[in-house]
Amino acid sequence: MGKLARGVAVIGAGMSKFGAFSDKTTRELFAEAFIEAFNSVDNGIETMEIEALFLGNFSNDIFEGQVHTGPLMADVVGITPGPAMRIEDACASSGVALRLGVLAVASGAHDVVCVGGVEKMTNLETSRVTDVLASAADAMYEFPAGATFPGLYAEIANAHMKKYGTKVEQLRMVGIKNHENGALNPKAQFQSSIRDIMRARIEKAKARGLPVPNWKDEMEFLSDPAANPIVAWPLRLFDCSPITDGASAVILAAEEVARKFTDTPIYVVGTGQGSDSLALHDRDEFTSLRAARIAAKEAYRMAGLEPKDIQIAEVHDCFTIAEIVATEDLGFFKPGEGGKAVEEGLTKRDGDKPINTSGGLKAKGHPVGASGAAQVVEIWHQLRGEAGARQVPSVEVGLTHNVGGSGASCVVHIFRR
Amino acid sequence: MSASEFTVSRFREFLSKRKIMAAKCKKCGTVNLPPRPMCKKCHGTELEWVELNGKGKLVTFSVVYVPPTSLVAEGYGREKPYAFGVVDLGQGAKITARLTGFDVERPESIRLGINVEAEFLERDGKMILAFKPA
Ligand SMILES: [Zn+2]
Repeated sequence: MGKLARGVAVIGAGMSKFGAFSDKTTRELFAEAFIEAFNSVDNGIETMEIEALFLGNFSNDIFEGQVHTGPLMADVVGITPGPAMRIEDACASSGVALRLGVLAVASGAHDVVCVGGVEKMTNLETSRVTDVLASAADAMYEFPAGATFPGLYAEIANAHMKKYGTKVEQLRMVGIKNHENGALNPKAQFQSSIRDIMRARIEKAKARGLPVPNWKDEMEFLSDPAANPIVAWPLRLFDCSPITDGASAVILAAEEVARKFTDTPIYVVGTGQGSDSLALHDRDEFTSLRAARIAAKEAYRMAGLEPKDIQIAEVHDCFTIAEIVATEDLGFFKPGEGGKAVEEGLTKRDGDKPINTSGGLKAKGHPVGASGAAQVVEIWHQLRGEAGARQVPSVEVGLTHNVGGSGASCVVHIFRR
Repeated sequence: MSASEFTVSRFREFLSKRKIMAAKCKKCGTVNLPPRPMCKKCHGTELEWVELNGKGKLVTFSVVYVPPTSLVAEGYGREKPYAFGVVDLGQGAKITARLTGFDVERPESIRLGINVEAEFLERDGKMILAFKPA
């Protein structure tokens, strides 16, 4: 357990539009993210100044039939011949890539590196994507039993509800909040609140002369099995992050050189990572992710900060229950009180602890290998006061929490302006 | 250390004979289920096979309406959901398995903590571990 041997700062960050793009491959997606990150460096940067690429990617082997994506992407964006590599830790791939990039700069091996991620998921039909995602769980024992990714988080949800009395309505409130945030994010896959989606369905029914649903509000809409079908009980469609194409890129520099590139560097003040068994049945508890608690503890210790010091966070809400568990594992709320915190509005943009102002994985989208670094893009904008309509006033300390699989990997970073 | 016999394939061989076998640690007594080459508690490699009686408690579960392709091939889907979950077989031995005999049309009726017992389902010549209400 240690500290960074020298300071590391984020000097640029960017992401592609997230969504379903039949006309784009990983190459164009990553180039889109990289170019935005490249152009975001205040005082400019040359591609030759970027010494290495750490790229998160989960399963391009199957999605595109293309591996060796590290050097491929480095070549696309003109940063060869330096080191370039793909990092795979399921949905935590680019959070882990970020950590490795931070450690590489802190060690003195590199002064400036790019970290990022890319995933192109929409080529396959849903049942095949379900297969691929489930391969991040235990393929020998969980998958043959019928476990799917939503199914595993559903197991966590059922355990959380039984132990703490967490309610399905509280899960739905996570989705409502994150869609409200996503509506303000031009990069989000779903730029619409659940209320907007509900109204659009009503208008569509009217226009087609079909029976008009009489949902009073979002909660009624989300309780209607026709509008919000079960995916894996108790999780319904609007509890699940979507299948997404997208990419993210972040440029890191050593503290000594960061000010050459920008007057507003965002420092990485804490990094932590933990691991656990892939299979839920090999764990002692299902209502908390040990890997997340380990990662958070190390990141807080390194930063010399406590949960109360974090002013804004992007957490891994691959499913609505995951956000509730995340806010407990990070120490923002006591175990079992994450659901209540959502209900009380504490995690809204104007709450005490704004969570997932980007829209989160739920509304922004979840291109698996790109999600971890995309979280940093939001925190970078927020800490620089550049988050537009989503801006939380005067935030200086932010956190990202990126989980792989059903919690076998977790990586947490803390950033400070 | 010699090559371990506590393998996935041995576990599956036993399962095909309707036996749930775990790797019990000779040093600390931990019942490692599924079996593994090193004890999950003390990391020792002196293990022995023990048969579990298939009686356990339901720890958690889900009912899946959007299956992977292998279960689509078994006929499951939105019109025919299936249940799976984690079962505690005692002494800390837990495993993920298919659940049968539960009212999947009313998942809210499925209670955590209830007693279950093992069942063995043959699918395409392979044996799948399942549990039903005891
Ligand atoms: Zn042992």
